[in-house]
Amino acid sequence: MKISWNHLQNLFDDQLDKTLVLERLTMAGLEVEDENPIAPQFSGVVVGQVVECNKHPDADKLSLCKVDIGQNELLSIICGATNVAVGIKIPCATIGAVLPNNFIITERKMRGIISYGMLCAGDELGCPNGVDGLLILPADAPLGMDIRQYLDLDDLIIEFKITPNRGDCLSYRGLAREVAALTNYKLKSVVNYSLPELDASDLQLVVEANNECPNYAGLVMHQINNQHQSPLWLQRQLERSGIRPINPLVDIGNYVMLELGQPLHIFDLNAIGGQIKVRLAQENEQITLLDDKTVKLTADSLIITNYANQAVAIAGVMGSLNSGVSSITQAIVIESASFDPQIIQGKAKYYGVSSEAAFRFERGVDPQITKLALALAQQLVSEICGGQIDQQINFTNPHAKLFDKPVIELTWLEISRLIGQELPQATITQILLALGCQVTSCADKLQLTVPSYRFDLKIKQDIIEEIIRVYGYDRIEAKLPVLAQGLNYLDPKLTKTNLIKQILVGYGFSEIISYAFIEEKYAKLFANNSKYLVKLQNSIAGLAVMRDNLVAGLIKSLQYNVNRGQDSIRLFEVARVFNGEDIAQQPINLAGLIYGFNQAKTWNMPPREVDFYDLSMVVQQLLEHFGSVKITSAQAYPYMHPGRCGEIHLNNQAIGYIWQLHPQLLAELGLTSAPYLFEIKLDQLEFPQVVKSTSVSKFQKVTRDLAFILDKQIEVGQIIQQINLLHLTELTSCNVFDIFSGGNLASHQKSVAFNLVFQANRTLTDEDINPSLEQIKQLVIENFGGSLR
Amino acid sequence: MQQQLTSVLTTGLSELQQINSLSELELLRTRYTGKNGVITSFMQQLKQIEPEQRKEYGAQVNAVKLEFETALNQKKQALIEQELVNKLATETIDVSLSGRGTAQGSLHPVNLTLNRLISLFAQLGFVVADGPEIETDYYNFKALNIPDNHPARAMQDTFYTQNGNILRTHTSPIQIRFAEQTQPPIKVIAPGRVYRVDMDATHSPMFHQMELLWIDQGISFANLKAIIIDFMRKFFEDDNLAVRFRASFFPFTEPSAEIDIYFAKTGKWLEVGGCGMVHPNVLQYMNIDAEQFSGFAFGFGIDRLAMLKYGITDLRLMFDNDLDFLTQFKG
Repeated sequence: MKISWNHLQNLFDDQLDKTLVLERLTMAGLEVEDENPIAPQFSGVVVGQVVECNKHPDADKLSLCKVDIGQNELLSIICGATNVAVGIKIPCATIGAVLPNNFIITERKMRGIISYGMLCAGDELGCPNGVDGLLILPADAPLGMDIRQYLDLDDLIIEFKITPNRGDCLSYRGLAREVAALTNYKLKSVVNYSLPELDASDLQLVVEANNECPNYAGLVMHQINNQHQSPLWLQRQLERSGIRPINPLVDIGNYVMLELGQPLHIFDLNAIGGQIKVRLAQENEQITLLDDKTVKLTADSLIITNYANQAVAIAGVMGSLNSGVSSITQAIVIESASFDPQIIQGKAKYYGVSSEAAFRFERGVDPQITKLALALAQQLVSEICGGQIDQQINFTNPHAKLFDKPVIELTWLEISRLIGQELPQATITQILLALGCQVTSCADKLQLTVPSYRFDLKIKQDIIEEIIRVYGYDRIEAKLPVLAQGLNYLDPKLTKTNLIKQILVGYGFSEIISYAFIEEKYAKLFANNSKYLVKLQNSIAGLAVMRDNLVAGLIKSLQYNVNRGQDSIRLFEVARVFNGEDIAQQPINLAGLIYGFNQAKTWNMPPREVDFYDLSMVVQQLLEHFGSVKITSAQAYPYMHPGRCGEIHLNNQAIGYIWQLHPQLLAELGLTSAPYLFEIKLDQLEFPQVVKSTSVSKFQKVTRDLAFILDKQIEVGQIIQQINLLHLTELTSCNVFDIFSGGNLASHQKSVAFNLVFQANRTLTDEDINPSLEQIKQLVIENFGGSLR
Repeated sequence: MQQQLTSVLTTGLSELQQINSLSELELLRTRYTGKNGVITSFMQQLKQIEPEQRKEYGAQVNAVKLEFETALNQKKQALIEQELVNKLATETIDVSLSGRGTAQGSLHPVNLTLNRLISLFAQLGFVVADGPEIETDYYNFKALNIPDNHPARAMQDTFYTQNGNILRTHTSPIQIRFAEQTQPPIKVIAPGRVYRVDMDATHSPMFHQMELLWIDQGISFANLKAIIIDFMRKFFEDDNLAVRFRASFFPFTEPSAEIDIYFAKTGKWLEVGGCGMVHPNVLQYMNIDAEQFSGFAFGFGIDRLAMLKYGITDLRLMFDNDLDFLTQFKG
C-alpha cells in the first residue's frame, strides 16, 4: 500500500520523526518496502501567469512573454513551448532558480533578446505529467506561490508491505492508529462526520443474507454534477496512493476508502429503482461487470440487486456496467456496507477481476465505520458535485458473526512461558490498551476484548504476538534451550547419498541441479512412460511436464555445456522423479552422463573418446559398496542405443540402466558424438549388514590364464557370473584380460582370455588347481559352446 | 727396492687421479693389486728377500698396498656417487607440468550448503526428514492453517497438476508428515526442492528451502531467537553478525518473524528467512497437545544462503549447470 507521508503527518498534531516512525512500523510488521520523494530537489519556481505573448522577431519557434508572478513588475521571458498562450498559469522559474540536475536559471540572451527566467514543463521539474509543453496550472492557483508548496511537492510516497492479517492497516486511519500505538505520538481527535436524520425512504432495502451482510447503510442524493474533474488535492491524494483519478464520484469513493478503510460503492439511482436487495446469487445468474466482462455467478456469491431483482453488483467486489456512475449521472445511491470476509474471499480471483474493495473485504473491514464513511462521502459529494441528500437506508443485524468479538483470556504465566521472558504486567496492559483492546486483569490472568477492526486477533498466541511486537522482538533476550538427549543414529540415507556423490566427484563428475519440470518436446523424447506422466495446469516457460526420469535434465545441461565449448563432460544428478502423484510414485533417482574426451587436452598424451566401459566401471565401483553388481543386455527405451544398453542388477535386483544415447537423436539435440548415461533407483540401494572381515592369506597367489573361442553373441558377464556360481573356494578373482576377433577366427567368433587367481591358506600346487581349471573349462565349453584356444 | 716401491705408488696414485669411470678403475685395480698386478708382484718377490729383511719388506709392501687400495676405494666411492648424480640429472623432469588424467568433479553449491546446514544442526541432535514434492492441498495448505481462498494463499503462487494436486510451495508439509509419525520431543530439519510460479534474476520456479522444527515442553520465543542467531553466526562464520527479528505474518506460526542479517559492506539489512512459534491450529493437525507442548519453526532458502556464502549474484546460475560455474566449488 502506497501512502503520502504528508497526509499521514496531517493526522497528528506533533511533527513526526520520520526515521523513527518508519523503523518502528517496519519492526512491528508493517514493512516499508520503498520510500520515494514526489519530486527531485529544485527551488525558485513560482506560480506565474502569461499576460502577453508575441512572436520572437528573429525566431519562428520562440515566443516573447510577459509573465505576472504577483510582483510589481512583469517578467520578460522567452518560451519555446507550443502550448504557451495568454492567460494560462504555469510554473515560472525565476532568476537564481535551481532546477533538477543543478540547472541554474540566469539572464540569458536568446536571438538578441534577454529572457529573465523560464516557463516550465512538468518533466523539467522532475514530475512528468505525460503532457508535452508547459505544465498548465488551475486558474485559481495563487500568483507568486512557491510551486513546491502549491503542488505539495515536499512529500514522500511510502510503500508498505501489508501482510494479509493486517487489513486494518489498509487506510490512512489504520496506519495512523498503528503509529500511535507504537510511538508516543497522539492521533488528532477524529472529526466525527454525521448525517442529518432523514425520514423513512422511498427506496426499499431488503437484506436477505443478513449474516453475510450484517450491516448496510445507503444514501440517496440528487442533483449531482459529475461533469468535471476532481479538484487537484483529491486527484493528488489518489495518485500518491497509486489510484488513477476518473471522475469526482468515483474518486470520492476511493478517497474515503483510502482514508478510513471502508470501501464504498456508488450506483446510478436510475439503475436501482425502488429497491436494493442483498442476497446470495442463483447458480449461473449473470452479470456484466464494470470492466465489460459478463460472468456467471456461483450460488456462494453475495450480490446486490435492483428493483427488477437483477444483479447490479457482486457485493464487495465490483459493480455492474449498467449501474455505474458516469459524467452524466445526476442521482446516486452511495453504499457503505459490511460483508463477512469469508463470503468475499476468493471471489475477485474466481471472477478474474482486480478489486481494491475486495482486497479489503477479504481481509476484514471494521463494521463500526459504515456510517462514518457514508457521512464523509456525503460531505465530499455535496462539496464537489453539489447534490441534495434525499433518503437514507439502513440495516443492521447485531447478532451477526461479524460483530462477535469473543473475550480472550490468558494467564500471565502463559504469556511469559511462550515468550521465554517475564515482562512487567503494567507494560503488557499498557501495550494492549494502546492497541485499542479493552482489558481487565487480576493477579494471575487478564481478559480482553479486541477492537472491531482487528480481525486477526482470535487466540492467546495472537495476543502474545501483539505484546512482543509492540514491546519489540529485539528486546526479548535470546536464551538457548536446555539440551538433554543422547546421540542420534547416523542417517543411512544421507551416508549413502554422500558416499555416492563423493565417489562420482572422484571420477570427475560434476553435480547438476535441473528443473523437475520439462518441456513437452523433451518429454516426448525421454519420458519412460507417457501414460503416467504428471502434467501441470499452469506452467512457466513451457515447462509443463514433471519428469519421470533424469535424462532430460542431463541432456539439457550437456547441450548447454557443449555449446559453451566444453569437450570433456561428466555430470550427475540426484533428484526425485515422478511416475504419478502419490508419495510412492515419487522415488529418488541417481543418473549420470559422460561425453566427449576422457580428459582435458594435455601434453604428450592424446585424449581419447569415452566409451561405454568408462561409465560401466564407475557404475560398478559405485554399486559394489552395496552388493554384487551385474549388467545384462537389455532393450529398454527408444532413446537408448539398442545394441549398447545394459540393465543394471544389484544383488540380482534390477535397479536401472546404462546405455549409449540412440544415435538418431544426436542431430536433433545438436550433438556430434554420443553421450553415455546411467540411471538407477537410489531408494533401492541399501548398505549391506556389516560383516566380520576374513583374515588375509599370507601364501602366494597362483595365476592361470585360459583363452576360449566363443560366439560373439555370448555375454562375458554371464560366463563370469556362472564361474562365480561354481563357488571354487580357492578362486579369488576372475578377470578378462583380452578380447580379440578377426585374424584366423570366423567372423561370428571372438577370443576371450581370462586371468584366474587362486589362493589358499597353504601353498597351492598344480594338483590343487587343475580340478578347478577343468571345471571352468567344462563350464565354458558345455554351457557357452566355447572351445579352448 | 724401497725407491721402486715408492715410485710405483706415486705413479699408481697419479694414474688413479686420471680415472673417470668404474670400468677404468677396475682395470687400474687389476694392474696394481690384481693377481699379476704391479704391487702384487712386489709381494711375490718376498721369497727372494733376505729372511731378516722380509718382515720389514713385507710391512712396506703392505703399507703401499693399503694406501693404494684406500685411495682406490675412495675414488670408487666418488665415482659411484658421481654416476648416481649423472643418472639422476638425466632423469630430471619438469615437475611443474600439470598432472594428467581425469580431473575430479564437483558438488553443486546448493548441496554443499545443504551439507553444511545438516552438519551444523546435527550437532544439536536434529534429524533430516524428507517428503514428496507433489503434495496435496491438505499438507501444503490446510494442515498449515491456510484455508481455501484465504488471502495468505496469494502469498505463494502455486503450480497445480492436472489432477488438482500441487507442487509444494514450501518444505513445511514435511513437518506435518513427520509429526504425524512422531510425538514430541521433535527436532527435525526438512530440506528440499520447492516450486512457485515466478521466474526472473532473483526468482526461480524451482528452488530449495529448509525448514526446522523443534517441539518440546517449554520451548519459547527466546529459544527461537537464540538458536537462529547461533545458527546464522556459525553458518556465516562471524561471531559478531547482527541478526534482527522483524514482526511478520505466516499462517502457520504465531508469533511470527522475518529474520534479517546485517551486511556491514552494504550497510543494509537483508531478509534471509521466516520463523515463529508453531500455531496451535498446526499443532492440532499434528495431533500434538498445544497446552502441553510448544515449538518453533524456521524456514529459509538454501539457494539464498548459498548465494550469500559464495557471493553468487544471479540465482539463474544455479540451474544453468555451466561446468565453468560448477567446478568452482570445492567444498
